[in-house]
Amino acid sequence: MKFLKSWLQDYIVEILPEDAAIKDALNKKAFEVEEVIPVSGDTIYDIKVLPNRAHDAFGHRGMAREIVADFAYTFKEDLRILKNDSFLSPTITTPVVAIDDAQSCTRFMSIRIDEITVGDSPDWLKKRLESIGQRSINNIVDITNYVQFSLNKPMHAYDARSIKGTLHARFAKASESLTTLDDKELKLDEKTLVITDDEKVLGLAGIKGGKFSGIKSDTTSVILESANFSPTLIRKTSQAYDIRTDASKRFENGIANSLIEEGLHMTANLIKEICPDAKASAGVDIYPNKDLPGKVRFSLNEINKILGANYTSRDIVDTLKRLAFNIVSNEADNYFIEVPSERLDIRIKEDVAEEIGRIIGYEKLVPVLPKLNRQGILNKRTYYANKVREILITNGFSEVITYTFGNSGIVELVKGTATDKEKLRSSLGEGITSALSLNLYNAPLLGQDTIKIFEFGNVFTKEAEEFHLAIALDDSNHKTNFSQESSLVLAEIKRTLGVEDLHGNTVSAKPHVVEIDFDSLIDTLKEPNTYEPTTFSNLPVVSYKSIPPYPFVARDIAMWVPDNITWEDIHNLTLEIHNHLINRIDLFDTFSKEKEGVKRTSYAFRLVFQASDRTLTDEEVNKMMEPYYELFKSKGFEIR
Amino acid sequence: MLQCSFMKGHTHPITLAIAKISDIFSKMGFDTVDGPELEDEWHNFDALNIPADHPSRDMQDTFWIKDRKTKNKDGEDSGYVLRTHTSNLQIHTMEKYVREGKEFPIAICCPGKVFRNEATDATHEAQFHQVEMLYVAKDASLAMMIGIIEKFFSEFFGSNLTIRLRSSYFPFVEPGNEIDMQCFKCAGTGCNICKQTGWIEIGGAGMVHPKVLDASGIDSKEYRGFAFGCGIDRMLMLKYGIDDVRLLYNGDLRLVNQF
Ligand SMILES: [Zn+2]
Repeated sequence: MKFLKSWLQDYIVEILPEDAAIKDALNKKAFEVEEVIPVSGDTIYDIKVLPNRAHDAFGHRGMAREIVADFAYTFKEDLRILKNDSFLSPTITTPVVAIDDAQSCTRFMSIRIDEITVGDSPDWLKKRLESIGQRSINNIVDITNYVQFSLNKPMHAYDARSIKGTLHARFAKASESLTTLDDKELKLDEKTLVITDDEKVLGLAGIKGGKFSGIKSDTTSVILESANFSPTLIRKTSQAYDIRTDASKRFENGIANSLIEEGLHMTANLIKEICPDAKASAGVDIYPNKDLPGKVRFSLNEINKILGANYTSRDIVDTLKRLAFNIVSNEADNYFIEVPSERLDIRIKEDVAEEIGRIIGYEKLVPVLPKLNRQGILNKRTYYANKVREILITNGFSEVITYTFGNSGIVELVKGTATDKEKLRSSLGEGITSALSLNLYNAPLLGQDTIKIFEFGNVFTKEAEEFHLAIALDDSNHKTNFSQESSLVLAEIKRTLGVEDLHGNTVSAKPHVVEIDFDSLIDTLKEPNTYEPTTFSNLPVVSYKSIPPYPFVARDIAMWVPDNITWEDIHNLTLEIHNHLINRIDLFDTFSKEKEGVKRTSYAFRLVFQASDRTLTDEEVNKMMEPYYELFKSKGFEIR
Repeated sequence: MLQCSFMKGHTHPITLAIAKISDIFSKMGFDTVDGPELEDEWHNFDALNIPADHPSRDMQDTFWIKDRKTKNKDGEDSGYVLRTHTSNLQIHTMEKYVREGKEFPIAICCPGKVFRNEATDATHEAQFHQVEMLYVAKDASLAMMIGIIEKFFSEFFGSNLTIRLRSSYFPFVEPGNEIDMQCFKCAGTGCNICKQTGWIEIGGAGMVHPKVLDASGIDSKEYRGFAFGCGIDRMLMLKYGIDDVRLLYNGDLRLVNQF
């Protein structure tokens, strides 16, 4: 949300410091300043106002009060919020206003102002609105906007000619409709709160006005609406009609009813300032249930305990003063305070603790550690899963984590990220099988021929959420029978944990996938009662290499070499040829043979090429292979 | 260049991170707990003081479960979701302590998988891992929370780091804070990891809202608590320079085998 420095300055006696200081203080104590935009002789701050502060800090006055508290400055009120009878004319009829439901419209004020002239706004007004991204429309509309961005109070002005009878806040009838300012025709329903007169719907209450009652170039009399509406109702209506406005954003976060009169008076006073001939009716105010002021009781001791601080009475009193929180009574450091009406967010002592903590500065708190004198223990699942992980990893299995949602399962989502991701897995089988094929595809890059993986994860049946383990094995040729290897490792798991039944089932024989109901497996085991670090409890030092998104190309070489040549020799020779696209060199087969009394060794190895910026073509790789062949031939090796 | 064919397998970095996190917290006296990923509205939202019309409950942000309803504590209809945070374990743990009459303080960490219904890219996933820390006792304070979080990050990133609190808002804590951690790479002088600021935004924290304690059956007049949460994936990505979060969840050994 955008704020203009000079506009904030209007509310502060002291001259504001440099932008960097303002940004720093707000960042630490209140809100993130997302952007500081210098404009000629002024600055625009784009500030991310927290949702619980929308009640006050969505307006320049509220933001200025925050800055006053942050810097211990002096606040200066804009006196135009006060009622001004100097242009009251008894001959002008006061508008008639009605509220049907005091819950949905909590306060409604109105006034009529005659003898105005619609025209361009004065430069100062235009400039201020435009600097925060608002288009200038005409003086009257601009004034209502100015009040909105000053006080955080949305205002509405009607052309008095278009209002017949009573201004009424009521729920719409099913047959009614409304044409908005931007020519959209809205079909209304009975859950929609509207403002009407005796004949027609004038607008969606608190959200948007209608087309036919707005200010026109020949308008000479206006009726002002200053009202407050239920935040929940505004949020629902704004969602239902998909209309979000500066006004709806403010009402749906909730604003204090004290703003209703301040907004009305400020609008009237600004109209008088800009249209000097203006004359006003008496105002009308419907306010069935008055807001109770926010009052909080707390003690110095309570605040210090929450914050872990040693603040003094002096610190508390000073901070409350900076925040303009009124101390109603203070007996032996037991405080009873009343907060400014806009601060709907301050209701309990924890709220006050936050205010005191942030204004004095969280950096002043001295960190401490609790003295628990014990070691924390692991939950049962993790404790036994870690033991099994150790076994699997020792046996050459690597761990994967796959997605909880997919195409098959019993439990369904109402809406997922995609239509093929709307079911929760009831088995780990599908995820681990696709991880297996991904890794088999990449086997040359991994320098492995056999892929052995496992996953721990939750699966979802109709009744329950279960913690499962799956293991999966396969090789590139899909030839090896892994059932024995699998049985051995599973037997080791049983033996280590001391359980009889594995609670497992073979999901698939080829590739070999076994899934275990791990919760059932460990069901009879005792809860861990001491902490034991695992073999992997210390984070390894890894210089991570990014994974190129481009495919790799593998080339195999098999050749006979004399008996005295080792794999290391061949490997070093290979490295003599400078090629930065070579990713791996892996030996996959070797054997020796005697032929005519000469012992020779055959080496079969794989070169893997990959570029980080493009897909390598076959031709390109063929060319890259030539120097290797030439080199080996020059050494007298026989390429097979 | 030659990587000898190995005998041992590799642990997934998320598991490594969780084991480390449990280890750090165990030394401070904190237990590790786990809990359901499929959660009722009460434990995921209501008990955490997240109002019924809060935007985070929208369909856009939360995975709702089809055709599954229950009644909440107030007898109203209540649905099920894939938990949007590990904070549901705050509630489960507090309820358990009350139910079983276990001795306070509560000192736990809860690492686990969480879900957000959002478009995925290199830095966003619909499933990821979070860790939550909760401490409830008569002596809980913001200063103690800062002490624990500083210790946690210092141990995880392997250098003495300070944190700073900024004001923030989460319905389940008051005061509520955004946590910045001093950059572990440049120790605060500015580098590309911390975007030259010396600080890294790393998590959210605060004093447990009295309404949350009360909702779990703990007398908020007698006890206070603090909680902290942050993304495990993000911590890993920062520490190791992993550039795409999705690589953690597609079962790709090209990533796992590097750990
Ligand atoms: Zn840095």
